[in-house]
Amino acid sequence: MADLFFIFWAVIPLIIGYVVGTLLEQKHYASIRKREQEMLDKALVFNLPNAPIMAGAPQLRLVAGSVVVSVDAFKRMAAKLHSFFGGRVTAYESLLDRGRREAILRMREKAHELGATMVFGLRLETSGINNGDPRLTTGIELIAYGTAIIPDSTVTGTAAPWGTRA
Amino acid sequence: MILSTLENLPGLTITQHLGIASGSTVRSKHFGRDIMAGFKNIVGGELKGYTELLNESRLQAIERLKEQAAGMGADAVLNIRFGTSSIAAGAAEVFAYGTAVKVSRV
Amino acid sequence: MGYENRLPPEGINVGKTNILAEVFWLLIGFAISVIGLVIFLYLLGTVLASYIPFSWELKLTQSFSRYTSEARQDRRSQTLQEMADAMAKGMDLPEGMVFNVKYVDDEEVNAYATVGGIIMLHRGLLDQLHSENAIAMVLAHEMAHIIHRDPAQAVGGRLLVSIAINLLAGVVGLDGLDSLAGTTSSLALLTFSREAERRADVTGLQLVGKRYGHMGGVGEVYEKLAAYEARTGLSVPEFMASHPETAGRTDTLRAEAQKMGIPLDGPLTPIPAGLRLGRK
Repeated sequence: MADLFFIFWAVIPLIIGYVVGTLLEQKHYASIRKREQEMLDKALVFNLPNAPIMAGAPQLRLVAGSVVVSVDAFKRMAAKLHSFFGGRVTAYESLLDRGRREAILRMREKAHELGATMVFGLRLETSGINNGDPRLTTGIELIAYGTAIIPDSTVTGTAAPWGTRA
Repeated sequence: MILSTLENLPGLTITQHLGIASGSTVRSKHFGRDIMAGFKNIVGGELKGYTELLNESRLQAIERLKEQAAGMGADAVLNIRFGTSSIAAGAAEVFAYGTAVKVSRV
Repeated sequence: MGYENRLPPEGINVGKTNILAEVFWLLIGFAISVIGLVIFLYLLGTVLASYIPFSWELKLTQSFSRYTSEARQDRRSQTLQEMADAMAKGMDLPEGMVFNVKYVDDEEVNAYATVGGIIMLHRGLLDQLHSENAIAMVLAHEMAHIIHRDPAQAVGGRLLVSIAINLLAGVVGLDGLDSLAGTTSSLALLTFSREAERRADVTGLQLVGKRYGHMGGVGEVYEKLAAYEARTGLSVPEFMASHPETAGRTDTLRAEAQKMGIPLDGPLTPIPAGLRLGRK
């Protein structure tokens, strides 16, 4: 009887977590790659604090993108086993990677909506969401924020104010 | 690969900005070190095990940053910033990011 | 000074390992570590406990005197106590070791020894035996446990192991993994209790052989208990739970008796009058 309980409460979420979680992760990655390709020449992002001088009076706006991601039950169990032995916790690496890329993408999409061509001064922040106990982490929040530069539309000239690709 | 926290490198000009490169890693210390840290909390002082852990993570994050920048064809990474956060029990993430650029001598 | 965005290569910040294979190897490593840790800690606990003098055990149990006086100092307990003292006479016992034998008048088929030299024999078990020799074997087996300090060692060993498992659960925060740790530790500890039972059999045989001159009637104990288990499907704790093979056990006993020079058979002493009150 106790074995049945164990199977139900412990093993089934792991199986569901692995199967569905892997599927969702792959879909998310596919979406990220597609959008990164699209945004390759829009709303370029750099983390330098000095923006180039642009013609006219460009507008500067603060833009941010954020996302809260969580890892599936199977990976959570894998991470606990990893932390028993020490070393790299590979289960969380993909989570943080796609969370960060998603946050940056959202920021760029927001900047593009505003008509900006570049985002400067990028900063990234990570924090774990939990009820005060790091063992019960429900998710990880990632924020990407920076200053978007919206070029002055009154200035004539079709060429972009920055140089062409080297 | 030149790594710098500056945005301008003296004696070099930036010929092309290539975008953001980042390196991140999640590591944890093994069970025994956790127990020792618990005991160390009673007397206080430096938790050598955890200092080591985060040192290793930092170095690994920089390695990955260099790899990414090299993959983008860059010679240098400017304005490098670090971030650390604790993800779950005992596991800490360290990430480093900066702007990958191509440089040439003045 | 041109500006562009290039995509960095994939797979640098994300490992390309197969997570299922990783978890499989990690689980195996985890089970092995737990078993190793448990065995080491149990042995450490037994060693530490054997340094605690028996007189401390006695003092500890005397403060729980309510427990020991549950079975009244009745005629049957007295008879069993006399049997135990007779067997203990002449044995080279550790300093200050005394036995405190009590008869428990209920149907439970059980007999056990616990800290402080306390031995409890239940009516359910004694009623199945038909000679003083058989009853003496049960008594001697329990006395052997006390002579070997088995109860104290078990307490010490299990205490250390449960501290470790709790630390594990607290620090790493296992859920589902701690029941895995619990099961592997129980399996590891089973080997220790089997070994303790085997040694108690041998020393018990020594005690019986010295007192009665032979080991006749002793086999009845194991036959009756095996039959009881087969009949009811229950396992008699203390005697059977950690040792499955009854037939093998009787043969082992015979071999040990031969080694010690104890004759295998002899006249059986009938059950003493003190125990026969109200027997069916």
